[in-house]
Amino acid sequence: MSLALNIVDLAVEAAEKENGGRLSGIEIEVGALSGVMVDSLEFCLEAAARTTKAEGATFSIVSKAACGKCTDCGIDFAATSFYQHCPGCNGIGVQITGGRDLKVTAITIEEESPDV
Amino acid sequence: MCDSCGCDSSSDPVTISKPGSHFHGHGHPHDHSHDHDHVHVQSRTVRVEQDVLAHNQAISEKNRAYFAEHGIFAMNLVSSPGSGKTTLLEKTITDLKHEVLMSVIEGDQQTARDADRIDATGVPVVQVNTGSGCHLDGTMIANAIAKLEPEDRSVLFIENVGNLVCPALFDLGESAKVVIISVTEGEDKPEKYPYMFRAARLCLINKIDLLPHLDFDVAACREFAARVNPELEFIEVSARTGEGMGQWYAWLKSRLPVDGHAG
Repeated sequence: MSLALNIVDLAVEAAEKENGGRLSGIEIEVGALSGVMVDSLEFCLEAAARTTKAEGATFSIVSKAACGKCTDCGIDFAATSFYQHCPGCNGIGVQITGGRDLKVTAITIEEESPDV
Repeated sequence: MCDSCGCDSSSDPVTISKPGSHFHGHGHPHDHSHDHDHVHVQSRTVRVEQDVLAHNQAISEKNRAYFAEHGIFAMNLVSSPGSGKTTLLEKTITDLKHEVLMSVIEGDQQTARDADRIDATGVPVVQVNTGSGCHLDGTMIANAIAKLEPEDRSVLFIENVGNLVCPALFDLGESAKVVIISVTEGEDKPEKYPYMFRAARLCLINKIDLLPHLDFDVAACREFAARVNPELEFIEVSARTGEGMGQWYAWLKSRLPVDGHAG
């Protein structure tokens, strides 16, 4: 839940910097190895947005695949866990090089323009 | 991380207290009221690209800088509930308090029971109650440090909330995470909770005095953990009988400068 609150805070702050009004959409990138469960996050986001500018916003969660690099044979590959041997040489010297991020990537602001 | 278990660190205020006192920590205020007389509404999408944990990270980096400036070696003790963290701390403090300056931040959802136990050993302690939150974060530690005022050139133990999931994600500014697993748990915990074992520098396998009565396979546990984190060090201990504790004290003291205090 604290992650959901952080996400809403970040989005609202970003909207305020843009002098924007209400938030109608928030796009979030969740890395496959970020440790975040998407279902639980979705559940918490709606509650976290209550009484903020993001109340009622649509949350779109984009999953990002993880990737790893083998320090033995040097190949890059799609990683599915921290717990994985290199698919090339079957070595255990595997570094996770991507897919750990949890980011707010974009926000959609409802902008109100004065009536002419 | 709280979103995995549905706990809500905002609904219950975090409290930070010394034994025998009571202190309310931060809440989570929101105030956004606007009055506009507008008619047309257009939507506009803006790229943001902001890391969600960056705020916690920024505060934790300040904690880390504070520890470095004051020569404080901070350890974040993490485990599932019931692994024996508090008993291990009591024993460690009792055995080392004449050699090493120490203080403790206790994290629990409710009660000051653990802080009271540490208080009885005579070292400074502050209790952080996270309410329904399942981990400590950088802000809680910053507030606790302000209350605790740990001495320069000392060791600070941070006993995190018993939970092998969320505390792995939240940096507190510590020098090392020490994960404790007891032999009354399954030896496959490192495989089930890889994030925590990956984040830790040292793994203490506790309650080894019970091994004759259990089927716990120490070698298998170490193998599971080593596959998640090949750099992880292991020490087998019993905080109850004192077996192996000397090795843990040696590890701890090896992190301190020659005069016995952190620097």
